[in-house]
Amino acid sequence: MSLSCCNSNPNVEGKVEDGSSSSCVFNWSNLPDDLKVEILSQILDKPLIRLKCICKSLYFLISNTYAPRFSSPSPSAVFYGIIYLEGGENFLTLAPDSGVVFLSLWRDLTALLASCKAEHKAEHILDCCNGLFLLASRSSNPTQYFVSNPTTSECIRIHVNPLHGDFKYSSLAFDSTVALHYKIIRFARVTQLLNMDVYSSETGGWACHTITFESVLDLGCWVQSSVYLNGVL
Amino acid sequence: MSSTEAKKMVVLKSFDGVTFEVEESVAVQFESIRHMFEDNLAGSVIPLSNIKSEILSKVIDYCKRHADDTTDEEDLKAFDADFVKVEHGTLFDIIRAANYLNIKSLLDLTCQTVADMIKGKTPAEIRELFNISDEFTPEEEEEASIITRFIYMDRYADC
Repeated sequence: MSLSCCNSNPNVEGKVEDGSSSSCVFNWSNLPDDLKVEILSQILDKPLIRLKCICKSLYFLISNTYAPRFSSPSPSAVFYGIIYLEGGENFLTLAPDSGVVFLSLWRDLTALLASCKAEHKAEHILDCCNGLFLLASRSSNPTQYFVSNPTTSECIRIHVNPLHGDFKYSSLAFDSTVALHYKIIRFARVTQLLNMDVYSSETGGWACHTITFESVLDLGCWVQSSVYLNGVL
Repeated sequence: MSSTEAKKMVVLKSFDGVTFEVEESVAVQFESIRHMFEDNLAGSVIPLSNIKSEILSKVIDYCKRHADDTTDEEDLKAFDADFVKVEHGTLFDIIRAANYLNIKSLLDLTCQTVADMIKGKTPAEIRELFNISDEFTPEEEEEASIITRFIYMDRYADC
């Protein structure tokens, strides 16, 4: 009795053959998500991001589960905001005498914007949010928007909605700790109704929202800066 | 060690009907079924309907070794290293079993092993390793990598 308790059932040996053949049909996708997360949590950030291109389930799993973990806003994002706010649209002429860090960031930014201008005729900076810039080329109708990341020196052309008329006040919403997607909010026609056109990089399209105000807005002019309040819209 | 009569036994039954008699001191590591034999159900058979006998015997082996206080640290490490040298299919089955039985140390060990296998491999190699079909169209793959690069390049430039 004491012997059999220590050793597993001897029958097992005979059954191993059958068992192993069925385990060969194993597939990663059969593994429940919580176990995938368990495995992925052992992997460092850099290789983890690379795994996103393996398959769709991993792409969504990593984007949704881990994005907040490694997406604290880029430290330079704040500085871009400061440079932009100080100089407004004319910040390119801002004298870069504000310190070494500032200077190199300013150079990055200037170089990027110059190249955006040359390549895409994006001459207006409309907004800056958590390290991303919203640019536009006002000469085209409807307005052509661009979103640009100075840190990676990339500029992305936003799909134009032919229904949009001329240039309107626009702002950019982006928070990498929440999602990898940014939104462009374009305010059109303000009377009692506020029409808001929202572009989402997730869907790649524009959507129109209408907000009704209780009282008639009598705005002589727009305050041309915006604050991104997460979750308010 | 202690006398045979002092050892309480727990009987586990695998998915394919094989029964295993395990000492209670070993079976207490199975967190999720612990209450079943602690609630004085000793002697009755506990069915583990989603674990194959082959896997269960491995898990029991592991727990036996880890329940034995006399084994020293080095031996245990060597045992663990040897334990995970199995086919991928078996390894993933053990992960599922460890998760189901809630054996934390075994789950950590096996997940770490899989993570180590993934490290340093290209996406194509990993797909092959784990039998994953490539669902992305080339356009989608390009788009995914653009988004990632666009946002993260400053910190993950050498990815």
